[in-house]
Amino acid sequence: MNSTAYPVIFALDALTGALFLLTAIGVVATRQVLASLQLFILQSLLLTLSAVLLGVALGSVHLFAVAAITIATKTLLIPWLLRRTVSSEVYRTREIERVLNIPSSLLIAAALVVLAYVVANPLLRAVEVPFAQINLPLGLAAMFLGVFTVAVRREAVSQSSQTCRSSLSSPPPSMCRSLPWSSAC
Amino acid sequence: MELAAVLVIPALASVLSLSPLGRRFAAPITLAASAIVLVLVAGVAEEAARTGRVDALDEWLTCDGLGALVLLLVAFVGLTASLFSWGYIRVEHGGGGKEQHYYGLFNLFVMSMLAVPVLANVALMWVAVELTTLLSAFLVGFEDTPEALEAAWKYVVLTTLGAVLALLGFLILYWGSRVAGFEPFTWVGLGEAAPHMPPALLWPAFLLILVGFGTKVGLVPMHTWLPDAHSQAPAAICALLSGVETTTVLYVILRLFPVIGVAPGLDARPWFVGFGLLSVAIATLLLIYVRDFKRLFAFSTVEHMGIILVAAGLGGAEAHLGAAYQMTGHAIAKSFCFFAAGVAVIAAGTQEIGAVRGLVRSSPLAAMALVAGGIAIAGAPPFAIFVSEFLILKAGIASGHYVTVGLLGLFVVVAFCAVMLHINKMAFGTPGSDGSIVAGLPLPSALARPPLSCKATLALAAIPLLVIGVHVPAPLQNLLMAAARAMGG
Amino acid sequence: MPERILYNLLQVGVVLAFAPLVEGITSRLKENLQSKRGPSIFQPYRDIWKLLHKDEIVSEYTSWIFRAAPYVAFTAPIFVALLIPVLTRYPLFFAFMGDMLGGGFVLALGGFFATLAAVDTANPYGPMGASRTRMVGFLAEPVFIVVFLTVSFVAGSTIPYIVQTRWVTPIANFFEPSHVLLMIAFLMLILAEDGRIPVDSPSGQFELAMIDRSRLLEYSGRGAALMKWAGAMKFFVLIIIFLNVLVTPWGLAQGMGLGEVLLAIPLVLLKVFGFILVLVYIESSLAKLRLFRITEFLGAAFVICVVAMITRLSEI
Repeated sequence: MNSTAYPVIFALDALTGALFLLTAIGVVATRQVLASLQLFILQSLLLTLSAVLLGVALGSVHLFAVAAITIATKTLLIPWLLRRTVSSEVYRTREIERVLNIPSSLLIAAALVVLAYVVANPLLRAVEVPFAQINLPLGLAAMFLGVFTVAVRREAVSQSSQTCRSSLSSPPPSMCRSLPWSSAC
Repeated sequence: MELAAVLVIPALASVLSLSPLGRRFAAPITLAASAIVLVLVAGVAEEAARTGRVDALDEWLTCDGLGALVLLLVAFVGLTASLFSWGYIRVEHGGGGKEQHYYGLFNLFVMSMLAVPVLANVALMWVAVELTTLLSAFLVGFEDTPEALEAAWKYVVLTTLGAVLALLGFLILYWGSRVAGFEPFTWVGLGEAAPHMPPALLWPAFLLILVGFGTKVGLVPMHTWLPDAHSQAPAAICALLSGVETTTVLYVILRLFPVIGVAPGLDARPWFVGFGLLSVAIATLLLIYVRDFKRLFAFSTVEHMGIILVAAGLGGAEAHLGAAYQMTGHAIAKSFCFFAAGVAVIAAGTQEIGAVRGLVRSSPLAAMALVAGGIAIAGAPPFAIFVSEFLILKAGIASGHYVTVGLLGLFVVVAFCAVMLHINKMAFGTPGSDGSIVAGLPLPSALARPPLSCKATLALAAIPLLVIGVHVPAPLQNLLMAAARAMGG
Repeated sequence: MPERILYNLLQVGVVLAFAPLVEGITSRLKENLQSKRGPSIFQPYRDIWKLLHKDEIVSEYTSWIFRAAPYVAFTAPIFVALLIPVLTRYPLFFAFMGDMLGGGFVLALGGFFATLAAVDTANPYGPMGASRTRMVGFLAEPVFIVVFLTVSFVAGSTIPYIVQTRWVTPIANFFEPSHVLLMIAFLMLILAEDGRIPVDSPSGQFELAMIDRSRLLEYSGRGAALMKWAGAMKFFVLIIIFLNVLVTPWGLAQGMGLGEVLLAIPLVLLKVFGFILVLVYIESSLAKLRLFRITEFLGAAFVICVVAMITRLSEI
């Protein structure tokens, strides 16, 4: 757990993680396509911030590279591509068509977060790694929420941003963060 | 050295196809590249079967028996598919820009599939599997109809999500191998590290990879994208996807089996057998009610993937030999089936089973090919799949898994009946008088006659189809046994 | 010992005296944020004074509940003020009389009587508003309970003073993910319970859209004054619980001296003022939700506090 080793960074990392999860839940709860895209951008920024914090704490260049890639692709490139290929009218007026209504989706989202913690617990118990205590369950939870959100959307536009969210960065950095990649392959 | 060349040549062919030179020569370039790759791969496979392992580029590329088998199958189906595409794409889409895009993507797709058994680092291998998805997605949606686009979208979304789960599994494996203190993140390194890894890490990783990559293989209940993607793509791409791409991803899962096997206290076999039987069962049921003959072959792919997984799970040298043989037979027979389906689509103009009757009268070649392919894939003698399924059932009975063997036998028989029922109706049925669109009348346009290259492909692919079931040449036999050894661990 | 009783009564006095001021500041700041001048911040005092000197008219179709409700609603926040840390960090004389769940029940008792009184009249808008208040109330209950249980489980006790010592006093706890999430969930709860935008419009006069303000419709004279004051006190008590128990103990008196405790009054009010700034900003930037979207709002609050609970409990 090592919270005494880097107390400030640990606290900031925990805060970033909490806000990251909050935006993930926000995407499940929001009604408008534009709002969900903005939440996605905010989430990518928080992910970048978390990667930078961990890079500073662990002294790993790889994590800074991850942060740079995240900013470039998730925060800039993908929203730009989505805005360009889909007309702005969709973003301004469209509500997300969903298979499940919002309160039920929120309850399932809560269950998925619990599941993420349950899955992560034995893994964390097996190994002691700094920062994994916070990041691994949150990364898993964000991934599960991404998969769930894709499953309950009816149209491709809102599905595409969610697929990017769950597949591009959330599990790898949160796991990379937890592993000392500095001497890796 | 040949391993590196095997990867570089298709990349080169892709670049050439997209260049101005490819405007007229994209198809011959691709065909030449595929032929060269097949020759190189044959050399690699022979060496791997003899010595056990082939390394190249300072151990970044490596290939053992199982990998060599997969490589050989990919190269062969790549050759036949490129020959088939020559005529098919020329007829369906005309020359010029679209054809160049097709061949550019085609070559990159084949390269990514060749990369999977060859890359030593497991993380890079995951990247190669992801690349196969991304590149084939554009090929699946190549026809630009709404159904094709929807099929491509479903394909991309579902398999990418599966790949994310698998990536998590691999990262946990990496974590475990670091904890156990082993450096190289290769299959060999994992095999050495597995006894020292905490089981709490190894088991979730295995499940995540099984479910995640099982989505790409088409195991039930993650198979829902497969019938759409494998039926909406152009016929040569279907042959590649069904014939070898699912096998390539199944190779990754099979590689995990010996890694789990050396870990004390963990047993992967019930999971393999369970998922395999479930896939075979559901595929068989779906085969009875299918309405589109390309979907028929796609469901048959799910069934065969299930059979291979069951064979791997049954354990024992004979079952593993059966699995390797089944992989070979399936790749050859399934690609042949899809070539036949492509020719039938050209001859009949539709993909619906209900609309095609009496094909033997209007296009004897298509009918004969369909019948031969149908019999081969359903598992009748004298074709290879019969022999391999028999081997698997025999191995199962010898090791005492009576229930599994009984269920498997039952499903295989039902699937056989279903496939033959549909194929018979299409090839030999009399055109109905209820006014449905029938193919009894010969169509005078050029579209009705299959292009020369398609006929050549059918002839070329028929040779191994007919031969392998009866007599397996000695080098291939050695390769199959080497592959079985690699599976057993 | 006598100081503890004195400080306890001082706490009640603070709550009684400054609750209308908080209400006044909130309305004035909201208007200012919209570039209007707004009423004076002492206006609620003048309203209460005016109402206390007016005649009371009671419908003859009501029962004793209608007449008793203002008194019950008025004393409920006073009881809760005895239990929570308003000015001091150490427990006072009545601190162990009831815990947080008890305080929650007492507040709910006041609200329950107010709802009953609204149904008691034959006014059609009363029961309508009362049923809507109950809907918001029952959706908000799980959030209350999960928040209280999480915090109590970590602190090992349900007494607010002890919770405050164990939960927020170590400054490292402030950035914990569970802390941030619980703060956000409780903030959404305050918005719902007190009838602020986005759940209800506190300055609206349209009876068909009222949720919480409808309980004041039938009252006049002394009853109305007591109900208004009770509403303001409930708001103030909820803010104090939020700030002093859940957010940060800054400004509370450490020692036993009278001067310190008196100094705590302006410091706590400063903290409350900071919170009001945030609240007014939220209120000015959101629109009132449609009635059945309130379930989504409170559902999101529930999910957030469940996540906070899981995050905190899995670290133990």
